[in-house]
Amino acid sequence: MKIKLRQLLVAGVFATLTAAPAVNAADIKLLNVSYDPTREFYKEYNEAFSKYWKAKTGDNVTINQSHGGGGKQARAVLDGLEADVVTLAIAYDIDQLYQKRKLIPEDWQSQLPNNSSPYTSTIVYVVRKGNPLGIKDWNDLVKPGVSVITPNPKTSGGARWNYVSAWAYALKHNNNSEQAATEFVSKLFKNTAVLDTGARGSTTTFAEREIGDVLITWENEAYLVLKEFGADKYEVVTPSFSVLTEPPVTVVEDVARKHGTLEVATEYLKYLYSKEGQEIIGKNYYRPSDPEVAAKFSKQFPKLELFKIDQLGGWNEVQKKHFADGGVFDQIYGPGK
Amino acid sequence: MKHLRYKTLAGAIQLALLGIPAANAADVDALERRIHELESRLEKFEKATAAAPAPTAAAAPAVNPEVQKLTRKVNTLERKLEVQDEVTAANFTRLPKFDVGTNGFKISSQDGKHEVRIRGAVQTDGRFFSEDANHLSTDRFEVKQARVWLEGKVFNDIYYKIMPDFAASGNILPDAYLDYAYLPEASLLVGKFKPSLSLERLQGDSDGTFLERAFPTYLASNRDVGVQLHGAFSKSGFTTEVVPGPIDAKNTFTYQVGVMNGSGDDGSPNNNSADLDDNKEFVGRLFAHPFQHTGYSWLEGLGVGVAGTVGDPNAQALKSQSTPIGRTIYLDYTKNNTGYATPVSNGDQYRIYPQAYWYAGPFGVMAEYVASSQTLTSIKANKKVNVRQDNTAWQILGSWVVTGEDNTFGAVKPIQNFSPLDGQWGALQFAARWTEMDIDNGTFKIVDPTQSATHATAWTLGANWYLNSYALIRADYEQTSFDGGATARKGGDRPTEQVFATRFQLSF
Repeated sequence: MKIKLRQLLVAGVFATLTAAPAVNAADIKLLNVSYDPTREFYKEYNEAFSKYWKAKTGDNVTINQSHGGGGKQARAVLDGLEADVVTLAIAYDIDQLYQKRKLIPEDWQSQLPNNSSPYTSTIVYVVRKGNPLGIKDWNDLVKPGVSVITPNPKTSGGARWNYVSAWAYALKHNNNSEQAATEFVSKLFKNTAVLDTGARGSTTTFAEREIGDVLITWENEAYLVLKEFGADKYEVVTPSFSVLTEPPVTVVEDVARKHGTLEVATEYLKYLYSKEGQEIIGKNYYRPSDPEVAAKFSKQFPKLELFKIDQLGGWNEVQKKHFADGGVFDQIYGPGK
Repeated sequence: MKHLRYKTLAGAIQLALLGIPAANAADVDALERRIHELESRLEKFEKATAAAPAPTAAAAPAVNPEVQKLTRKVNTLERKLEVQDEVTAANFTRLPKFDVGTNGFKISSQDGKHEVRIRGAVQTDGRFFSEDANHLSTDRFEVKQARVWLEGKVFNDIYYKIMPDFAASGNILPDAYLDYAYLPEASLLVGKFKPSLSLERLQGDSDGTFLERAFPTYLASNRDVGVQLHGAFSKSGFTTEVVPGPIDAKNTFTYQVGVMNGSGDDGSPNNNSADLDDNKEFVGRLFAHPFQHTGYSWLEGLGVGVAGTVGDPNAQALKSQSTPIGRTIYLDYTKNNTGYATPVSNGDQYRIYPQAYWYAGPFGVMAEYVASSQTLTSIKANKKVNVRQDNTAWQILGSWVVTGEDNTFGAVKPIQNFSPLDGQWGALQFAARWTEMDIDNGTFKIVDPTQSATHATAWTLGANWYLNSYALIRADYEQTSFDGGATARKGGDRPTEQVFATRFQLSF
C-alpha cells in the first residue's frame, strides 16, 4: 500500500510538471504603433514572430498594429496611446517620447544595432505608365504644370523625408544656397495637388483616385503600388539623388513595464535583425541591414546617390528649422502662399 | 455622358457644401470660387458641344482634353475635401468635452485625465420663533450659503477643490485642497477641508436631511488646515473606486489619518489659516460598509465607524454653542461669572465619535455619539483657573422618501422632475430627529449658569421636497428644551425654543 501511494505521488508530480508548460502558456498582447506604409510588412512579420515566440516559449503573442502619419502617431503615444513598441519613420518623432514624457530612456537609439534602425529605405517616385511627362529627377517636379502628390510634413514622417530629399538636391545643385533651396521646395509644394496626412493617404490619392502626375513616396510603398494597382499602369522612377531613410524602432519601456511585456517587446524588435526578420524586410522592399540578406535582395534596389540626414545637421536641427511652427515649411506653404 | 459630368460636378459641390462647417472659411470660399469657375467653364463647353455637328456613328469616341482637365480638377477638389474632413475629424477628437445637464457643468479633456467642474450652491433660509417672550431669538430671513466653486482633476490623479462662500462672514473660503489620489488605497489630501470626524459634518453641505446638523456635529471642527492620508479597500473581486476629498461613502472599508492645526469645537480657521501654536491635532477615522457586495441588499447600505482626535491646544479660542435649527446661542463662553476672563481650551484634548448610518430603499437612519474632553482655562484675579470639561452629545434621525426614490447619504435624486402641468411633482422626504447635548457642570465654575444651559434636548420634524436634482425646498420644525440657563428666572431653565424654518436651495 505504501509503494502504491508513493507511486501515485511520483506520477502526480510528474504529470503536473509535464503539464505545466501547457497550463502556464500565457496570452500576451503587444501594440506596435507604426508609420503609415508599414502595414503589409508588419502583418507578415508579426505572424512570423508569433510563431517564433510560441516555439521558443510556448506563449501566444498577438501583435496589434496601429498605423498613421509618423508625427501623428508619436503624438498619439504622447497623449496616452499605450504602445509597447513604436516603429516610426524618423528618430525625431521617437525622441519626443523621451523629451516630453520620458516614456523611453534617453539612449534608446543605442539599445539596438544600427542606431535602432533594422532596415533602411529611400524616397523615389511613382509615375503613370510610360512616364508621359518624362519625370526623372527632382528638378522635373518643380516644372510648371506638374501635379505632385506628397503627404503633409506636419503630420507625416515620410513627407519630411520627401521634403529633405528635395531640399538637399536643391542645395547640391545650387552651391549650397539656402535661398535657392527654399525657392525650390516652394515651387515643389506649389505643384502639390493634395497634401494627405500620411503616405498611405497619398498612395490612395495617386493610385486609387488617379490624381496627380507623380507620387513622391517610400521605395517600399512605390513597389507596393505596382503590386496592388498594376505594373501595367504605373512605373517606379528612381531619382539620381535621394535620402537614406533610417526608420528606427524602440520599446516604450514605461508602457511595456506597466503591461508586463518588456521582455517580449524587446525580443519582438530584436527579431527584426534576425535572418528571418531581414528576409521579410527585403521581401517587402525595405533595404535589409544584414549584409548577406541585403546582397540577396540587391537586384531589386536601383543604385543612386544617397545622403544621410546628419549631413543636414540631424533631425533635431532639421525639425526646428523646417517643420516647427514658423519654420521654412510654414513660410513656403500655407493659406495665401 | 452629360448627365455623368453633371453628377460628378454636383457631387463635388455637395461635398464642398457638406464640408463648409468643418473647413475654415477661407478654404471654403476658395473652393466655392473654384467650383463656380469650373461650372461656368463646363457650361461654355457644353454650349460649344451642342453647337458643333453631331459625330458620325463610325467615329471613335475621342475624349476631349478639356473634359479630362475638368475631371481631374473635380477629382482633386473632391480628394482635398476628403483630406480636409479627415483633418477636421482628427482635430475634433482633440477638442475638450463639454457636459452640461443633469450631471452638472463639466469640461474635460478627451482622454478624461483633466477635468474641471463648475459648481454652485445657494441656500436662502427663513427662521420664525414662537413663544419667544424673552426675545432670545430673532425671526429672520438670511442667505445661509452663496457658493461658486471649482473642482476636478489634473493629470488624472491630482484632484482639487476651491470653494469660496460669499455668504460667510469670517470663513469665506471653506474648502481649498489638493488630493493626490494615485492609488485608491493611499491618497494624500492637503489644504483646508472638513476633518474626518463627525459623520454628519462630513455629509455634503447641501445633502443633509435637515436645515442644520444635530448637536454632535458642533463638538467637531467645522474646517481645519492640515494633511491627511486616506484610502479605501473593496471586497476581493470588486474594484476600489477613487473617491477624492475628505469623505468616502462608496467603498467597503475606508480609513483617514491626519495632522491638523486644530480649530476647536465647531471652529473654522479664517483665510490666513495661521495656527497659534506648535501643537497639532491628530485625527483618525475608520468606516466600513460590512455588508457591501454580500447580496443582502437591505443591509448593503449599512455603514459603521469610529473617529477620534487627540490634541494639546494652547489657548485655543472657544466657540459658543447654538441650537441646531434656530442657531440661538445657549452656551455662551463670553458671558462668565463675575471676575472670570473668557476661557480658552488649554492642554490635553480628545474626542471620540462612534457613528453609523443605514440606507435601505426609501428609508434612512443615521446615529452618532460624541464624548469630548478638554481643559478650560480662565483667569481670575491674575490667577489661572483650570476646569476639565467633559461634554457628550448624540443624535438619531430617520427619514423616508415617500415617492419611491432611494434614500442615500447624498442627495435624493427625483425619479420625475417637478413639472405640474405634466403631473410630475418631484420627490418628497419626511424626517424626524432626536438629539441631545450635555455640557459638563464644571463649565459653570467659569461660565455664567444664568446665561448658558447645561443640557439641551431637541426634537425635529422635517419635510424635503426635491424639485429636481438641483432644487430643493425644506421645511423643519424643531423644539429645544434646556436644563439651566434661565435668563429671566435665575436658577430655572431656559425657555423651550420653538422654531419653524424653511430653506430654498439650489445646488449643482
